[in-house]
Amino acid sequence: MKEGALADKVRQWKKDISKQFDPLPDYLIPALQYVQRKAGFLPCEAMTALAQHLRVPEAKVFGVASFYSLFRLEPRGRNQITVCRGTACHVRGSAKLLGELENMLGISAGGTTADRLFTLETAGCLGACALATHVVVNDRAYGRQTAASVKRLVKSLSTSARGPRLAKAVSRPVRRRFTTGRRGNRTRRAV
Amino acid sequence: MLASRIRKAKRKWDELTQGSTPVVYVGCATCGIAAGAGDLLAVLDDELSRIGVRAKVITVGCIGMCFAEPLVDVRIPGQPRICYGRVTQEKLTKILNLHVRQGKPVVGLAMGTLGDGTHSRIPRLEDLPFMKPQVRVASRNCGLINPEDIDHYLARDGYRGLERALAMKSEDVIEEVVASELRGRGGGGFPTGQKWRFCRSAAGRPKYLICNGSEGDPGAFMDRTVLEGDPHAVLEGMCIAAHAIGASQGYVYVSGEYPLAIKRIKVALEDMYRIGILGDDMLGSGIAFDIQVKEGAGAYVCGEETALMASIEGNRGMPQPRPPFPAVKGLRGKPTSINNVETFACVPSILREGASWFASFGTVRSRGTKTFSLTGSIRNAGLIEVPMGIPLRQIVEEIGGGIAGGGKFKAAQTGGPSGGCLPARLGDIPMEYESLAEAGSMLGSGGLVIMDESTCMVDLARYFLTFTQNESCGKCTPCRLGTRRMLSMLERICAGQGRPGDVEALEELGRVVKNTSLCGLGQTAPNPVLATIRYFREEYEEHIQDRRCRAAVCAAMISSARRRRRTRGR
Repeated sequence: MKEGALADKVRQWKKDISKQFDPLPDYLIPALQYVQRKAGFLPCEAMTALAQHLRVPEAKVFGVASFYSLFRLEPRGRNQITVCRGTACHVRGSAKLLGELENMLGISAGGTTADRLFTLETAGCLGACALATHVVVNDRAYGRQTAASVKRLVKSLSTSARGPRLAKAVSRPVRRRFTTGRRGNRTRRAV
Repeated sequence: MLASRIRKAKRKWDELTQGSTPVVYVGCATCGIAAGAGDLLAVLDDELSRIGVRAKVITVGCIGMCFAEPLVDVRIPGQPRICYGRVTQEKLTKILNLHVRQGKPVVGLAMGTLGDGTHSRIPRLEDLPFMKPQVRVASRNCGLINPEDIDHYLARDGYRGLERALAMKSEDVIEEVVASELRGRGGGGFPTGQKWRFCRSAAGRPKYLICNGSEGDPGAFMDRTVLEGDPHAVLEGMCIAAHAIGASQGYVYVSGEYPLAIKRIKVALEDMYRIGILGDDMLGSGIAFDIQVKEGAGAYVCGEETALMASIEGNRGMPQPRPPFPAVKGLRGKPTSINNVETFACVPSILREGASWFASFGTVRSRGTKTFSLTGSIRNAGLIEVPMGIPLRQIVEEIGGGIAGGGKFKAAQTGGPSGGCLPARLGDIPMEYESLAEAGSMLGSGGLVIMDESTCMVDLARYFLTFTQNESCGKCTPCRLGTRRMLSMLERICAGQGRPGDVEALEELGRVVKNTSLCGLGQTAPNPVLATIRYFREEYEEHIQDRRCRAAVCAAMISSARRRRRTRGR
């Protein structure tokens, strides 16, 4: 995809944002959430566009985006795995489960595999404590998991040609553009 | 205006509970879905048409029996609603075939009957040890009604409390809540009626009302269950509060980790606008009140009220010093009342049944009921609602059914990362605000994690501190650096490199962080450490002096032989 396609995308987001949100600083978090739902993460260009529309400094947009743990400044993998690290899951051994997943995928929590197939994350508590250990894969909740059952699940995803849901958020070339682009790199250094 | 709607809703409900069409209910809260309810729902229609039976399928919230998820209830004409637990696809086929088609309940799989009517060979669900000591006020509809259907809520006396409140003067509504002695269920325990009174008498307009559903405590899911199972109860409570304090704008702030709760609130709000509860004229009373949903973006500190308001205003969620309290100077500098989800969920029942009814439950110092999310090494994990003051042991042994796997009850962790732990020998302690505070723990929002002998208390303290250290917003030094220092000491102890004097240093630093931090997060962060030292000091000493972890959790202290034994034992 060409540079122009990215600019088109950003223009489109900007249009959507100005349609949905009045230009008030109050809407900063909902607008960031909106962009993340569309793009899967928060591209630099979109944050700049947002700052202009809501009339807040770019620094504030970045400050807010980096403060909250659900915002992502880098593109995520096609499949997203979130391991719950709540108390009940901890007591039932989620640390071990996470460790085995990290070994299997060769990344640590918060990372994305080189082939962009998987992103592995943790959550403070997902609130399904009675079904510990709790793992969310591509927005779907799986309860009573063990290291073995999660590994089976992950294996089945890596063999299926296309990950469900998340892959639809943005087509892949656009994302690659964000990571290799000049601004994308700058973001990563800033983090 | 509401009367005709309620009549219609009642007819619809009667058709469901007494009508001639069989009804299949599927528990579809997050816990149910995680256990596989979504898969059941996906095949249910096909299975029904395959056996050639017409039945209504209703999705409900979680009744609290998370240990038995997925739950499926079946009601056929002439029989009570029967609840089945741990339903798999094979069991579902069997239940549909025998129960729905042939009219013969599968006694072996049934857990109990719900509502009116009995079955000779199946106990009533409310007579089970898990249910019997419970009194359901805030969670009274959870698992029984379809949370996305306002008619179900209306048919079960929904919005009757609001109707009564609107017929009263707002001062009288506040007096009623004061008389009920309802205290904030988010953990603070501040009298709700008084908070409303302060907000009402504060100068400034508009006044704001915020429902705090930023549930971040690991091991707690009370707010999620109530919001997913009965969102209207919370929203009715907010409408009553809006009338009481004169608020014109309300916000429901929900953790971003709870997508299903957010969706169900949005559905509920749409219904409320449609039938004229929200908007310019609340049920013809002339009161204008709007509610907006604010989705959290993943910051534990936003459970703190001033940080939550900063987040609503589009800023980083960092707390402010108090006073001024939000009731005087809150959101956008205007008087604001912030109450917890469960607090709001209690309010409709108080208005409907009267303050003295609510105050008849609980103890002299803590009235009413409290929900707990009972988890950990317990057989019956789930959401429970019990009268305040119930002994801890009764929760563990009777409701919880004892320790899973036959282990020995060692300790209970209450109040999440802000709370402490209670050793098994304090099992007779009444679960209420003051008693728990005196014992060095806190009631908190209701997380209750039960632990057996396989839990290392030092590792637990380290775990909680890892969490709070991670979630510290970094604004004030005692919390930002104090928790970090405490954590590094605990990590050293767990790695088998503890030094004599570490425990004393932890105690001293803990006291400093507690006394000097800006907000509740820092002021309570040392609690898990201080409480485990108070009750399990010998475990710390074993770690430091003998390099021994009796629960065999701290990896550095387990010999390979012991590790093998432990893996086999599990």
